[in-house]
Amino acid sequence: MLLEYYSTYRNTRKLPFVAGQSAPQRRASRGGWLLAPAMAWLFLFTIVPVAMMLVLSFWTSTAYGIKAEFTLDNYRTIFGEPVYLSTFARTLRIAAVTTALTLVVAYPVALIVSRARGGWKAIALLFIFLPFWTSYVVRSFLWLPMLGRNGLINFLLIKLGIVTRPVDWLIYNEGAVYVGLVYAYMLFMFLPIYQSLDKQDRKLEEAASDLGATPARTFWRVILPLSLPGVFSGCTMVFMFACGAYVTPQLLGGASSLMASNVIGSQFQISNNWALGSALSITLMVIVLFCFMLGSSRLGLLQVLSGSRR
Amino acid sequence: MSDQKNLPTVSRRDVVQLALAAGIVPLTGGWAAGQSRTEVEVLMTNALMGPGLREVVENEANVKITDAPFRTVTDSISRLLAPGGTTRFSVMHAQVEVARNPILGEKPGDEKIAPLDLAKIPNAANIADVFKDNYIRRDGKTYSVPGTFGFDTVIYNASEIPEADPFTQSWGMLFEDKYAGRIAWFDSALHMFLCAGLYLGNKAPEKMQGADLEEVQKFLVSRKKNVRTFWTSFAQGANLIGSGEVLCAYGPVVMRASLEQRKFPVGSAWCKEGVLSLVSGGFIPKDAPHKDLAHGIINAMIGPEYAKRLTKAAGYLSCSRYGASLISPEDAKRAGYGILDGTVKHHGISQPANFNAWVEAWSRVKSA
Repeated sequence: MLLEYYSTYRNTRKLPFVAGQSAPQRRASRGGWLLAPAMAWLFLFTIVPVAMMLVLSFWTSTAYGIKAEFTLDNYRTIFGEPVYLSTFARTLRIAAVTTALTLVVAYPVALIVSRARGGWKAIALLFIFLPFWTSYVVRSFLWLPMLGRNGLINFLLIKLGIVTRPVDWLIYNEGAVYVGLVYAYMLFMFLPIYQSLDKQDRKLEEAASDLGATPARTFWRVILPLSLPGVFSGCTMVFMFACGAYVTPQLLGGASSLMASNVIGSQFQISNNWALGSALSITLMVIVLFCFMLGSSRLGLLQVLSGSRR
Repeated sequence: MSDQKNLPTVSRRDVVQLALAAGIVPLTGGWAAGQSRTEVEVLMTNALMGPGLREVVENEANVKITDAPFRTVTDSISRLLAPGGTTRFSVMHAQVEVARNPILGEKPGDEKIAPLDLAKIPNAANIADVFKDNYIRRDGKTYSVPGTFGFDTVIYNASEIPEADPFTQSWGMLFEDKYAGRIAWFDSALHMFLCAGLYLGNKAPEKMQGADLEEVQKFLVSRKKNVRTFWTSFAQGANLIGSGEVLCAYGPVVMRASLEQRKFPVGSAWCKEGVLSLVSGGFIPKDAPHKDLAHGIINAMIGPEYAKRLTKAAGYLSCSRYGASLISPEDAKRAGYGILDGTVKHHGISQPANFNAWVEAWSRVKSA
């Protein structure tokens, strides 16, 4: 909505203001002022913090805190120390796999729900939204009593006689991180895909069927291509969120689940090195932005963000 | 009968009113007293203001305490050093040797904390002599007095690991194969490198750098296969042992106390290489909103009643002379007061000069 508004605003700005402007044009010009609160919000809560972080990333960290002395050492450390680069690489890999897995889980659900009728659709949507009414941290914690050594799954496996001793590998590894992240970000993949699928004109499917297409061919040639903006939008959001995951890898990942946000967090909370923490944050942001630009180059920024075709 | 007639009549309504008044007056009196107390925000290990301790401080200092969530000592210092950070909390309590440099600043005038008026902290006279180096002082002014001390060691599930086993009296429990897959490490560069350094025979592990640091890093990487997970908060660490997820873990005293309060059979190693000891002190941020009341809080935290309750409630030990004298010798021994008379071998935790290198080395361990 905001993006559409911005698009209108940008287009109207190109028009020279002349006395003979039409009424809709004048309304659009006046509408520009309505953007002021949103722009102020963006400036205060997006531009200012990022600018502060950028400035801090060039300051010097000492045993006594941070000093306003310009240095490039923080970036030299990041690009000269393999542990940071390998952590970024692992973060991108985990985020990419999480995105793929979330897509595999969310797409069929979105398709089924979008094809459901009346009350069933409302009930399905309610059940999909329900877990997301609790906090992200609580949803991550819930996996501990489920997957733990004395957790629910091990209890059932032992009760059913499938195993005799608790299975240790259900948690505290990368697989558990995927479980936690896919669950945490499912909704962000589901919603744009559902929106794309729900808006589709069913007559297209009927036409494909009338022309002799099998259901599978209709899906591949009609439904899937039309839902791609939603897919791209969902993938972009999930990938970005997964790149910044902090709680889930910490709780479920065990001894080998270090992700970029955990490294950044330790700079602020453990080593008191705000300068290096800021430099790491900026680097992660640039990497994610680069991935985002790559992803959006196919469909365009607005379509990727809004999940719909122009 | 006539006498009865002369008696004042007491209706049921009178009785109800009297009873209500009798009940309400003390209640409202207590409520009013509570309301009249100034609310003071503090930042310290939350166990120090846990049940049984908070009341002592609130009553003695005549305040209402709000304790902010504690994460780590470094996090607390970061919050103090952040812009505006000296205005929020009235009292902070942190590990002296980690906090000293950043909170004092590089030179006189850079202090982020206010000098203490020791006349308002009479209980400071009772701090044991052994802590004479754990004050924070500059130019004749005292900025922090030692309040509590404690130690980190290996804690374990005593129902599955025999306490009499000599194997339990070493940091080796965290590194050797005997309990592989059932061990939890603390996600902290400082603590894990210190205990591994001690285990490998380094007498002053906080001075490790270069080759020494790399050797310990390689050792930790080689032993990481035995680790089930890392814990990041005391509650998480205690839950890992309490839920049976792990058998042993790097364990500060507060984790042991938490498990003991749940009646969980927890053992605590007296590591032959030395437990890692730490002293925490109270200080007042430079622009604290309630400096006078803050002095009262620091005073209460080294008073006899707080010292008496401290170990049972939080696991920590008091720097006050009252600490060991007000509990039984058995309890004092079990709590770790032997550190004071030398019967428990210990090594003081202090921040290495090249701490960033330690953090990077720890990141390499974690990402290996």
